Amino acid sequence: MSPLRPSPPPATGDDDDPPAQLSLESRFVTVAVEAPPPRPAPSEPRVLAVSELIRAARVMLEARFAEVRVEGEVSGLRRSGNGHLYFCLKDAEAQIDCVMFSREAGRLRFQLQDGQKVRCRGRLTIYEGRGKFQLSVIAIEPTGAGALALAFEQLKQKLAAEGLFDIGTRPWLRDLVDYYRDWTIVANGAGIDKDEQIEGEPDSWNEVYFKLAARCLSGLSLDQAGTLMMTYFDQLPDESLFDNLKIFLGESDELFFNRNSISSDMAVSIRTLAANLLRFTRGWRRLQHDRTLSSPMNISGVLSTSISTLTAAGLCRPSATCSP
Amino acid sequence: MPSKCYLLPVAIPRITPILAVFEVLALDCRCPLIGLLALNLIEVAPFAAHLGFLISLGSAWVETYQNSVQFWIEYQFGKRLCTSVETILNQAKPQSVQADLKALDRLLAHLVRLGIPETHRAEDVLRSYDELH
Repeated sequence: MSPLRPSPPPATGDDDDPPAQLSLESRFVTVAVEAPPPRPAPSEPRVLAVSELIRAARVMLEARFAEVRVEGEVSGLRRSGNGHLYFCLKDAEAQIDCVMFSREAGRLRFQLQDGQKVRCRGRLTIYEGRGKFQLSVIAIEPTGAGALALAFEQLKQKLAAEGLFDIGTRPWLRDLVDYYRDWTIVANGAGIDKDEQIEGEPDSWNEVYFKLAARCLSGLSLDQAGTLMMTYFDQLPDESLFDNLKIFLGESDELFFNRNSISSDMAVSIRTLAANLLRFTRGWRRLQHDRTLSSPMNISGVLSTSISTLTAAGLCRPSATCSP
Repeated sequence: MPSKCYLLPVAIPRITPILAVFEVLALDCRCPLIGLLALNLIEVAPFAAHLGFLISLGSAWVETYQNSVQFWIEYQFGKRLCTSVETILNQAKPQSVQADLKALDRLLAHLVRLGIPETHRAEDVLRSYDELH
């Protein structure tokens, strides 16, 4: 007797057919001649295009988080040329990138600023072009000054009161500023296209670094100061230039008007250089053709970066609005 | 309207050398926004050294905006310009603004034609200067 158990004949699908009466030998022959029923080839996992994957994830995310309310602190606020607002909403443990498109941004009743604690209403989504998870914000309400910004400001004030940022008593600060200069300008987009927007600028670092850099102007000759300014700002893309020039000039105002630690000639020289930098930006060229004040969109969009820079030029307070 | 410049009146005399830089910017870009920033700055504490700047800006605006009701009336550039000029003329020593008076007269004449009521007050002060000299 064969030790092998013969396979049953292939199913015909007709259960009523009587089983064939075959000898043991003939049944073996049958099995040997007929191929086993074709088994479906194991299906290969489907390979998705990146865009398919991201789109599927976006659709799921938008369906699940169609309307959410999130509270946090605004950080890294930036306004694009089109009037869209980009910022980061964060708390002590996490953060999320947010975008508020110009149509909604135009309806804001207050000036959104870094450090503000706000409640955002919007939809969770993915920006497919970059595969970036973000909150698309449609409304923002302020909920008071953010604790993190407050703590940061308090620490800065404490250190300033202790003279930490005084170049006169701490000349090594100049070395510190020199040491981190290359890193800082690269982190702020040095060398990329002037009109390109960069993401992830080190805002908190910039706030301290460019103030400190301005403080280093004390004791320099006009030529040295000019060279230093060009080193900092000449290679920056426009938006980064506006943001950081504002910090730098704001501090130089403090030095000139309140502390008398830079001369009138130096103040003029700094502003002349700043004006020259500004006049070569695209934001300035757009501003040259603008003839209206009526639309908040004009202000918040194309013009806003230039407002910031002029604000920094010591002409207007940062909260200045443009209604005559 | 309250000024929106962050400088205090005490700081204004120190901006005189910087004003030349801003004048270059304001003439290069004659959009209302820059004009607004300029007036905000001057309105903190208008004084004689600002008159040339205002005339220069006003003349450039006349060239650019000519009879624009929106610019001169709706945005109140005419009113604010004249008010600052009037304030300066009222406070300044005549000799400190003498060099600018002819150009100012031409500017005010244009603003009169635009129908800006405040121009008349500035013209009255200017006339009193003429009577003095």
